[in-house]
Amino acid sequence: MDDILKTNAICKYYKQFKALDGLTMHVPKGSIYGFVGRNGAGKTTLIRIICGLQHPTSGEFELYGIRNTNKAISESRRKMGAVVETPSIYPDMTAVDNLKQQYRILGLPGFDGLQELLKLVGLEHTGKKKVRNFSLGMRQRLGIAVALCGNPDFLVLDEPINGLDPQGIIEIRNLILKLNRERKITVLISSHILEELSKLATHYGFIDNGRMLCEMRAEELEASCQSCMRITVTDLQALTKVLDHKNITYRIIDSRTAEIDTKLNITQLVQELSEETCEIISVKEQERSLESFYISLIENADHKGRQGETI
Amino acid sequence: MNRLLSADLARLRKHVLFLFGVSVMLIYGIVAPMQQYSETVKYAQLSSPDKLFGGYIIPVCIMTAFLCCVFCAEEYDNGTVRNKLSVGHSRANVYTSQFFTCLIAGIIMCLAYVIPSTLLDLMLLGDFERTTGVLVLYLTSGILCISACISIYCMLITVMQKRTAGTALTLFVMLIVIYIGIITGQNLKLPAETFRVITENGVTKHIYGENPHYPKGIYRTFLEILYDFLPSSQAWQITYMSAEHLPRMIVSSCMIILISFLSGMKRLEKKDLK
Repeated sequence: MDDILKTNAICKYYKQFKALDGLTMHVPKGSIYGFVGRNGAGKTTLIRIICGLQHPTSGEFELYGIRNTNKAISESRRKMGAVVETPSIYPDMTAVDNLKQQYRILGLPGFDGLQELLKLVGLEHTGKKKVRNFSLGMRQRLGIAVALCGNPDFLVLDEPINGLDPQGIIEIRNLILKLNRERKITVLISSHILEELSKLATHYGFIDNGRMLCEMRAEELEASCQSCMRITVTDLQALTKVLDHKNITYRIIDSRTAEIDTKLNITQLVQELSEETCEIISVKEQERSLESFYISLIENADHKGRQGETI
Repeated sequence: MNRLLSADLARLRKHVLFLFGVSVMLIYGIVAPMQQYSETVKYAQLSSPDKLFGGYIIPVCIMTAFLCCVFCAEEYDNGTVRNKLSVGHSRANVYTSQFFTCLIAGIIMCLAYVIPSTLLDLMLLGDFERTTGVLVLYLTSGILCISACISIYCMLITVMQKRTAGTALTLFVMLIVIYIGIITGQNLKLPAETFRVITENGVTKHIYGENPHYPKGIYRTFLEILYDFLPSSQAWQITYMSAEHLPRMIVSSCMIILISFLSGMKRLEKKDLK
C-alpha cells in the first residue's frame, strides 16, 4: 500500500451547493501533502469527510486501504490524528488534563509519554494554566499534541498556521518537519498560504471549486516553476504570431513582454522574429513562484470552465 | 463505549455545574428535614417524613437541564467531539456515552438529596407512613422521570449544538412542558359540580349544578394519560407524593426515554458535524 489516503470522485452537497465535485486525490505514505486551495475551495469539507464528521454525498475514499463504506474504517481511524479548523480542546482544563482526556478516549492503559508529547510541542512548562488563557499558537500546538496521542502515523492538519505570528508559524513548521522526519508521520496539511507550504510539502494537491486541478511531487512543481522565460520585444504582435505558429502557450505581461513556460531555442526565435522585423530587447529566465503557478492553474481551470459553459 | 464513558465521567467529576448541583442537593437534603423538624417542634404538630421524600425531583430536573446543555453542547461547540470521531468512535457510542454520563450525574444529584434527607427524616420525624415498597416505587418513578428529562435534553442538544442556543432551546421546551403540565393538572382538578350564588329578596341561595368545564369521557381519559405521561406533571405528582398511577408513570418515562434516545441518536447519525 503506497497511499495512506485515496479518494475517488467524492462529491458533497450542502442542499444545492456543491462543496466537492468529484474530487480524487492520493496521499502517499511518508509524505507531507500540501493541500492547496483558496477559501471555500473544499479543503475543510474533504478533511471533515475523512475524519468521519460528515458523509460524502457520493464517491468513496480509502484510508489505509480500507474503504469508507467498510465498518473497519473506524479501526483505521485510530491510526490517524486530526486538527480540523480550530484545535479541539477543553478550554477549562490544563494542557495535561486535555491530553489525559484524549488518552482515555483512545483507551490507552496509562499516561505514559504524556510529558514527552508536551515537550515535543513545547508546552511542558504550562503547569496549571487553563487552556482558555493560552495564546493562539499554544492552543494550536496543544491541538497537534492531542492529535498525536496514541502515536498516529497519519496527521491531518487543517490550516494549522492561520492567525499565528511569524514565530508561531516557524514553530509549527519545525514541528511538522520533525514529526515527518523523526517519527515518519505522513502529514496532510491544508493551507492557502502557499509560500509557507512550499517550505514543507513533498507532494501537492491543488483544489478549486471542489475539484482537484492537479497533484504533483515537490520536484515536479519546482521544475514547472523554473522553466519560465520572460521575453521583451519591439513588436509583441510579431512575437505572438511566431509563438502561435510554434504552438507554444504564453502569457502577455504588458505591451512588449510575454511569458512562456517551455524552454526555447533562442537563436531560432531571433531568426524568426527578425523575419517579422521584430527585435528582442531582453530574455530573462525567471523562477515562477508557487503563487504564480497556482494562479495560472486556477486561471486555466476557470478558462476551461467558461469554455465548457459556452459549449 | 467504555473508553468514552470513562473519559466523559472523568470530565464530569471536575465539572463545575455537576459539583454545584451535588452540593445544592446535599445541602437541601440536610436542611429540609431539619426545617421540617423545627416547625414540628414549634407548632407542636405531627409531621410525616413522606412529605419530603420526593423533594429532589424538580430541582434535579432543572439542574440537569443546565448540566446537559453545557456538558454535551460544549463538546460540539468547542469541537472536542471531533477528537472522539476522528479516532474511530461511532456517533452512536458518543451519544450513548453522553446520555449515560448525564444520567449518572442526575442519579448522583438525586442520591445526594435522598440519602441524607431519608436518614434525617427517620431520626427526627420518625417512620414513613408509606410502606418501603411504595417508597421504592416512588424513587424508581422519580429516577425514571429524571432520566426521561435527560433523554429529552440530550436529543435537543443534537438539534442545537451551540451551547447558548442549546440551553435556550432546552429551557424553552422545558417551560412549555411545565405549562402543559400545569394546565392539565388544573383541568383534572376541576370539581364535577359547581354552584351559583343568587340573592333573591335579600336571601342568598346556593344553586348546585354540573360544572360545564369539567372534563368528561374520552377527553378526561386523555388528560389523565397526559398528566401521567408528561415529565413535568410526573415531577409534580412525585414531589407531593400524590401519584395515583405510579406504574403508568414508570411505563410513560420508559417510553419517553426510548423514543427520545433513539430519535436523538438517529439525528446525530445523519448530522453534518463541523
